[in-house]
Amino acid sequence: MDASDQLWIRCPRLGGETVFSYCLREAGDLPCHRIIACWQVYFPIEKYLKDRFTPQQWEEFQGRRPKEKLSSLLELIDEAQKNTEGQ
Amino acid sequence: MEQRKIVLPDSEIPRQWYNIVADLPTPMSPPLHPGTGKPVCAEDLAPVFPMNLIEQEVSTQRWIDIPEPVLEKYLLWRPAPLCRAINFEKLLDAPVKIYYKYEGASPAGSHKPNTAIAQAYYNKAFGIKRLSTETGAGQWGSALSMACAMFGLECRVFMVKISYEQKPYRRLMMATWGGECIPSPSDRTQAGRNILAQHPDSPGSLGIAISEAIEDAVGNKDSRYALGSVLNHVLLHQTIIGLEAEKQLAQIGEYPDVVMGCAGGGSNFAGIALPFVRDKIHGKELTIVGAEPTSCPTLTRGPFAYDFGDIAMSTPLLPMHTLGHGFVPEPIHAGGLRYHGMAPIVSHLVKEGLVEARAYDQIETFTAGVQWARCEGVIPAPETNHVIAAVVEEAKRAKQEGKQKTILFNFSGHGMIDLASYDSFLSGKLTQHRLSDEEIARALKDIENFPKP
Repeated sequence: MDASDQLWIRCPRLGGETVFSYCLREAGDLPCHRIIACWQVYFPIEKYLKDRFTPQQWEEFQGRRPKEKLSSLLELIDEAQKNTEGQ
Repeated sequence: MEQRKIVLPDSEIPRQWYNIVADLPTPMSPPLHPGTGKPVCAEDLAPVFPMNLIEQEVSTQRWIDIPEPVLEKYLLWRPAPLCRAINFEKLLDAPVKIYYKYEGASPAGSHKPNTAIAQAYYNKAFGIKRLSTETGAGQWGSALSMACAMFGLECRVFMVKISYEQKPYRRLMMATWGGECIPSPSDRTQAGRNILAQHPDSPGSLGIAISEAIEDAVGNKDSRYALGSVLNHVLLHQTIIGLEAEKQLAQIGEYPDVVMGCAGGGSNFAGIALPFVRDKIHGKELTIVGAEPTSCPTLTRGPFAYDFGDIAMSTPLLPMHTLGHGFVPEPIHAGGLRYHGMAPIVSHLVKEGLVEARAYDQIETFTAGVQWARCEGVIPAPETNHVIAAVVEEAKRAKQEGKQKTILFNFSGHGMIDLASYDSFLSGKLTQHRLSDEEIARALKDIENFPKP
């Protein structure tokens, strides 16, 4: 366990407690889109992320705005249909 | 002796759900398909939902009959009791009467079965054999597993792997009810396999779990997908909570000045609130509040950036200026209920000024929940603690204003499966305050070499 695992927060998306290191990798290559909103009260998370990111990565992170639920459902249906074609 | 519980006989259970769409003063904009830019049509949703539920999703009919087989299942625990929290009233020492609708009485321990049972029924009636869904901590997955068992459907639940490992009890509930709980990402779907190929040790995420559940449904003609919040038909099914509460309050000649619920995706809040929003639309004077989570502590609530800076300059205990980071926090919109995961109906009601939002941070919500447990007995689900924090604030407000108020809120579930969350709070594991320079340095030192994105 690293020290970031000592930073615990209640995750409003999962409905349970989670550690900072999970927030950092929630979206695979990028952190959870809520990471700044959730952690900025506790420490300068935005600066921390900017220090870690290349400008391109920061731009990609900033650009990943979550979509409305129905829009994301429709996109996932399209994607799922492609994934299951020929099965 | 004052009456503590108002119980409706089985024969008085509401026989229709209420659809607020019929009464909205301003119609909602139709959702647009992100691919075509055209309004979403039934066919777009047909791969994942049965047509009878899609009809409810787009319905503008005010009252929708609850099918008899659904009522039969509801009667296992409904009508849910309406209780008066007299001990909590005494603790708060404010001029308030507090009534709560106890949804923890359901077999799964929360309000979720109100829609899980309806969705299982409609899928069964449409000829579906298996439902797939995703779940975070497992509240929805367990409710759907139970509902599927009741209607003879298979149930597959993709549970975010980190929660699957941390929360054994809800997956055991799913297993007991015959649901198959799969840690996500999994090798069952292409979406899961893609993630595992890139990140074999991925802890999962809600986004991945949704992708897997949808792919599982789309890939099989006898399968469909079920969602436990956000969508119109889900909110519709939850209105039985508020409809029962209206009848129960009428029995004792009460009507609320304030109606409150916690608002994650909006379904339990909508369940208690929508029948009262209808009254408000038709001229009743009452306040309707959705309590949502924020990371922003009470002292800094409001116009966040301004308050934050102001407070930071006023005390050396608060860190941002003393850290020397030149850190300017991104403004937090406290009490918005407008984020992407919120039900569009609820967001619309906020925009129309019919509903207001208030935000509470993790520490004040658990503090309120523990106070509640120590005088009313039931340990609330952590989500329920948000609305209890809102009740505490409303009681203080009533005391300051010197006004007598009747508060009604939705106690959305008990917390007996969430005791680990209470352990995190009671042991001080949850981050409780702004971190000092030293604490930050200590906490982040070990992740300097953490794989960078």
